[in-house]
Amino acid sequence: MEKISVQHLNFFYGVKQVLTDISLPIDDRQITALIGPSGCGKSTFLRTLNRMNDTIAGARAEGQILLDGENIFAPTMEVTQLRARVGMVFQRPNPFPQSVFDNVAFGPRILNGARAQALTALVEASLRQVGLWDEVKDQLGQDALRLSLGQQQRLCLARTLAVQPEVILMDEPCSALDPLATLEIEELMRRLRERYCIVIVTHNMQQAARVSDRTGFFWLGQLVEYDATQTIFTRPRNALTEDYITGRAG
Amino acid sequence: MSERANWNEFLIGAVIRVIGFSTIGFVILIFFFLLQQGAPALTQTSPGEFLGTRWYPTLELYGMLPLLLGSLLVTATAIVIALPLGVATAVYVREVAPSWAREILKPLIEVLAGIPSVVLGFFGMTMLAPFLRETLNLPTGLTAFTGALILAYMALPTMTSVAEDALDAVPKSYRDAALAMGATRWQTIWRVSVPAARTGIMTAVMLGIGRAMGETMVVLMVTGNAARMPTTWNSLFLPVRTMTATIAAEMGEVAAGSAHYHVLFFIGILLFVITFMINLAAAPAILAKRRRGGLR
Repeated sequence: MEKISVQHLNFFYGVKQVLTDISLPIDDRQITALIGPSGCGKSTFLRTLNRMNDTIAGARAEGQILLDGENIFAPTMEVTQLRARVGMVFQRPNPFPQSVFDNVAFGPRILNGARAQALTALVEASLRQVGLWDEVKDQLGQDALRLSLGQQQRLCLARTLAVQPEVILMDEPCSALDPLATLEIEELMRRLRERYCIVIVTHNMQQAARVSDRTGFFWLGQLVEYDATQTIFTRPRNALTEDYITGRAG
Repeated sequence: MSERANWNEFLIGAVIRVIGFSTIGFVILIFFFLLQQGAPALTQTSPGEFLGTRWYPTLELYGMLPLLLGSLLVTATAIVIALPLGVATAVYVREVAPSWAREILKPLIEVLAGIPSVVLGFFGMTMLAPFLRETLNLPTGLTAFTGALILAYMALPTMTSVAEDALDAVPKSYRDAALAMGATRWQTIWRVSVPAARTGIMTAVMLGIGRAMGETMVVLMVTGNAARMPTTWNSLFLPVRTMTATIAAEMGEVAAGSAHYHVLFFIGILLFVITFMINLAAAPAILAKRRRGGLR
């Protein structure tokens, strides 16, 4: 089922065009990976999906992105509500310098001032979803910056889940992590796939091949090829895709 | 040639070292001078008296409590006024103002710190005090509150720029995280940026306290200088006398070497100790900030 439909998206930083005529459907309960060399626009594309680029002066988008059929650039779309529906996990773990509990409770508190009891349950559920509950249940009051980087990244994911989003965007979520922590995150993604629409930007092609259902290949601000991951990695239609995947370009 | 260059290097290094250490030396010398001049107060009068509530040097009554409480009252009120204003200004300059406004505001705020305190005292005496007397219907406008208002204004520039630096040091990734969860700009500021900058804001408060505590000219000019105990809440709107104002007002007329003379120096020691403690209390916050700054 189609969750997001991107139609003829152009994106500019000032006069510089960084995305050119991107169109693609993104399915619900699937993992969509975006690959391509640095500066190809894949992260910018990801950040248009929750309009995080709005915070950059001079950034401008053309075209449409439909979330459940509703254009996210429409004036009736509240950007705070959009971001609550489309959560994001960043490249470097960025928990707030607050306690573990307060980190996860942040979203529910600001969005609807959740009651104390519901909040405790929600925090526990979110931490369980990312497999962190057993590790931190006795130290919920501890400063989140004391956790290991891998734990911090899972905490950030729990913090995003606590908002109860429909879509989760991940911007190279494992690039700061060691291989073991990376495996944990990938394992998590496979589990979360049952309930969420996940879009991941990654430098790591093995990662894209391991976790994703579909893969899009970006090159110089254009979407060169978009297909089932297996097809992309075994029989790409475009010569450029094949060169990149086999390491001859990029 | 090279021998000469070496000699020059050595000379320059030595001069700089001497200058650097001499600053520390001067502070130590000043402290010893204070001790030497203040210590006789302990023998010439009975130190228990210092805790008395009456300061009448002509009757040889040296109760310092009214002075100490006067200083604390004025300082505390000044900080209570200056803290929200300072933080709000810092938030505006750092998080809200467009960059052109920031470029104008930052130097302007720093210029405020350069206004001589006697000018502010004059302003307080001629403008603020009559205004307060009339609007609040007071017997005199020269009150603790008048002094606190002006001290707040004086502490504001330092507090604002320190708080602003602290906000500036908050990583952008925190803000991004909050915004990406659907937080509004205000929620991001009050629930993420300001709490993350709290150690720096504490430093700002400490510096403000130090500034207000040690300020002399303004309090001498606008607080009325009556050495009475500020025991009730409306003391805020009555004259008080601070430790600094006492030294400034009386040192010129006291007989050198008399008990009164030594007691005034003893008050100086007290002030020195208090400001030193405040700086000491601020040190962990400053160091913690530096550590965090090094991390990310």
